[in-house]
Amino acid sequence: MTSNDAQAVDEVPQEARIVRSTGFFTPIRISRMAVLIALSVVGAFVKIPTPIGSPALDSVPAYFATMMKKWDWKEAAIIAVLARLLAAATEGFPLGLPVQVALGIGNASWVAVVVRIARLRFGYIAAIVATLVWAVVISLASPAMLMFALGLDFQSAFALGLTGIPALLIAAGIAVVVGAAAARAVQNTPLSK
Amino acid sequence: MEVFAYIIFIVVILGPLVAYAIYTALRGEPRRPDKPAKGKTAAAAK
Repeated sequence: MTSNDAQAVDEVPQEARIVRSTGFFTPIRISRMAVLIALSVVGAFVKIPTPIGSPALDSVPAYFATMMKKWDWKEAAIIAVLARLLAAATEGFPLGLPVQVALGIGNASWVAVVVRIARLRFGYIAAIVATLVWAVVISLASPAMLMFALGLDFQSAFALGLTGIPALLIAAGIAVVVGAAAARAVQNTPLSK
Repeated sequence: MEVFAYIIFIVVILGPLVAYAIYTALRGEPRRPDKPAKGKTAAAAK
């Protein structure tokens, strides 16, 4: 910057200067997170009818964000938590708010950590496989949640958790494939920076 | 049995998140190095 430039900057009114944030929440990051969170609410209304429930595609934007190599993993985690809470809000918070918060945190560690490590180290196919494996792991760990929310004994809660596996596999499989395809399409464009 | 179920649930939902947060704070994200360009692009780069 020359001395002339510095003078020109001084002449710009205070209100017209561009504020450059250097922290995590930069304007561009907040903007894309807002768009993706809004898209996850749209996805929450896209139900997949199955015999044992209707899982929705609310995690697609979170999968998309976690597949982007140059984006931060924490923004995918925030999107995943809010996607779960907003999707639950559209259904009246089934099983109660504490359970949905726990599910949101579980969704964040699933999408933003397990899937992202597989994506960064081994690629898209590994990320899809990790998603399907983690769907089974979450279902096997879910009896505690059902015992807490419904007051069931361990055997009943475990059986109920197992019945959720097919629907979860279908929803997670479709969501991760759509997210991976979208991320692959824009990976080398200016959007990925 | 119930206590174990609660512990496993908490470890499964919180474990990866906390472990990865600590790991990335200390070491950065584990990334596979980018593949070198192939064909005409590589020749043009030279």
